[in-house]
Amino acid sequence: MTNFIEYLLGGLGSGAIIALMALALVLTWRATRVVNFAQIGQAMFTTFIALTVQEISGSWFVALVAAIAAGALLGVVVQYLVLRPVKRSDTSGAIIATFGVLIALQAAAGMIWGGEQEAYPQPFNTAGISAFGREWPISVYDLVVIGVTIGLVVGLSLLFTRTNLGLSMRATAFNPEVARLSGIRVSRTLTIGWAIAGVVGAVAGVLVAPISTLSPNSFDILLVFAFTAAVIGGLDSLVGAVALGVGTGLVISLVTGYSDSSNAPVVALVLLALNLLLKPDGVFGHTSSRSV
Amino acid sequence: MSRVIATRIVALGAVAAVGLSLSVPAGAAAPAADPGVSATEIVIGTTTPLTGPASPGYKDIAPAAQAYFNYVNSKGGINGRKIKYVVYDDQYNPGLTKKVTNQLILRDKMFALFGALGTPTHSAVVADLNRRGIPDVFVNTGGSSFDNPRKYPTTFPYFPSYTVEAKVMSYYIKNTADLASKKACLFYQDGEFGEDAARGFNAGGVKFAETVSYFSGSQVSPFTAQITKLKSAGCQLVVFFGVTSATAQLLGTAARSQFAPTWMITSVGSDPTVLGASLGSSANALLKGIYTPSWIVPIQDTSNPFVSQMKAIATASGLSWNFYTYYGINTAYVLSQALKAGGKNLTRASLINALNTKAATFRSAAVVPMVISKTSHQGLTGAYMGQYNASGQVERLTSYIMTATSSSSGTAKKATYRPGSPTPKLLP
Repeated sequence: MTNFIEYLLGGLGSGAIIALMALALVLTWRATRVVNFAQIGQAMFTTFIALTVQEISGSWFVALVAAIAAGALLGVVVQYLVLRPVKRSDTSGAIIATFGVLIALQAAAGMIWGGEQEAYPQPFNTAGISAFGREWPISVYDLVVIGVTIGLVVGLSLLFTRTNLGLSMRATAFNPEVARLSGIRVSRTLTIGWAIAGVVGAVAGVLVAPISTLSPNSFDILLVFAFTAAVIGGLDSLVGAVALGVGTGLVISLVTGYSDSSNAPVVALVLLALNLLLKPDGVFGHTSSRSV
Repeated sequence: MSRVIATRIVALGAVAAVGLSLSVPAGAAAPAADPGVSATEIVIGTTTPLTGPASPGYKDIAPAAQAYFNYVNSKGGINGRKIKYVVYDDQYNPGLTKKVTNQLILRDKMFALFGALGTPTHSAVVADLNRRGIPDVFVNTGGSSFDNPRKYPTTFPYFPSYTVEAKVMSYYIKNTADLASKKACLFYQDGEFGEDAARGFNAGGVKFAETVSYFSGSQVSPFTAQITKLKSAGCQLVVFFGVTSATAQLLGTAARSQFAPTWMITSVGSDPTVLGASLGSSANALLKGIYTPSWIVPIQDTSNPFVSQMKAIATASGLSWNFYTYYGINTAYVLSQALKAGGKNLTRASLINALNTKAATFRSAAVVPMVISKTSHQGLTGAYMGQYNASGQVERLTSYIMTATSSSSGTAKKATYRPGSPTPKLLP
């Protein structure tokens, strides 16, 4: 029983990070109906920028701000330079194009920062919290990550439901033609969607790097789990992405704890397949919001 | 279309070459029959991860080998032949390994493959290389399946197999009172890497209270669940068999969970330079006291004539001096001696014959004997036990070495071995 609680707590922190990444995927999906596989590459790239800023400024916070700025900028650049021209022809082409961007970003990071694994400084205490006479596998740092995730979901939900920008983003995603007729600047709205997704991805990158290591490929496995969470969550739902992201973290931790780590991706795949068979619109999805 | 033309040109060229060789009068020096070797050049190929998740550390090996070949070429080459070294990035992806190896065979017409890296990657091509009779020298993996001269007569592993290493670890644990009394657990990378190790521990008679694993590629996310499992099992000695990037993640996660057992780590997973970069400022504190077997003179021992000369070659080429640079130069040095031993009239058969019969005479920074014969392609046969000191360097702990075979039975044995001194100027 104690082990069970430990595995759950241990899975919460990584689950929150998967949730953030899933959130970024959902945001680009909502904005442009494209699953952005380059999201993980953008996050990796902005985290490298953050590491450079951290080394120069010595401040974790300044580095985070730099990552957020770079994340927004990179989101805009990718959307503007790659997605816009490609999307005109067809959507599947756009998805393939995001793969291309991912490879390009990984290659560029390798050329700029080298292929080695780098250590990212830990801003908060990452040691387990002691309570009830023992120590638990959850740290102050994990709590910060969970807090940031909750904060972002609440903030984004408010943005989508309470602001004009949010309304135009939803309208654009729902029906670009009608949105354009209603006076919404559709392409600018799409670009803003990508910028916001870039910011969320950048935050996820900066948060995951201290408990992992940073290299051009170090977030690859995160993409697998975030994609699973986003799809099962319905691709369209912020809450779904977060709930399933945390859920995926817990499942991985429990599977690793009770059986073997090599079963974790298999279980993720089985859950994904079951979901697509039984409830293809996702647990939190609205009907016909997507077709996979 | 252009490829068809190119093929025809090659075919015409081949016909012309055959015609020429037939017209050479008997008694004149016959041109070498094998691809990739001429009177002035030997083409050597390699496949290795220069990019991708497995590249940290490993990507430094090929440039280091290149630095050594440049050095040899600048001194006149081997029996008058310069080495042309062709390196392809396979990203540790077996599909890509297959593709670039075919390029090396068909387009670059390599004479021999040297230092191909990785068990899953090399498994994809080893049968084809042997079928074509291409020498496959000093595979960069401890996978014991490649030591099989009956099945793979042209394949030669170099460093001790994981089974040998596990037997060495077993011997040391059982014969060191302080370690033998500890509750031992095993943490391994799944696949042949871990299976080979498990076979060695079985033969060596070490029983583990708990075994946990990670899957290759997942070393970039924290090992929280694995650490929880080891911790709750009360492990006091954790033996780790994985790649260096996973070692970094393991030590980092364990430190965060305040789990501090005695660690023993495989030699392929314990490069201090790479670990230092991955672990940041806390590296030396985390590394101190970790046991790791090794079969080579410690890298910081620059009073050793092998180390000092290899370091000079690396530095002259602008390479950073780390374990992989050291290793790359060392294996290139041994290969060059094998090529020289292959004789003035170098052929694939003469190279293989030289490896099968003269391996014991090759000099290197290894401090354990190399065993290669027609019936065993084991390569290096053992290790000494080392331990990290407070400055993050591995120091030799045992003056003796422990030797073993890759078979699934038999234990390691204590031995002494006095390695030969370097050849003049470190030239073959």
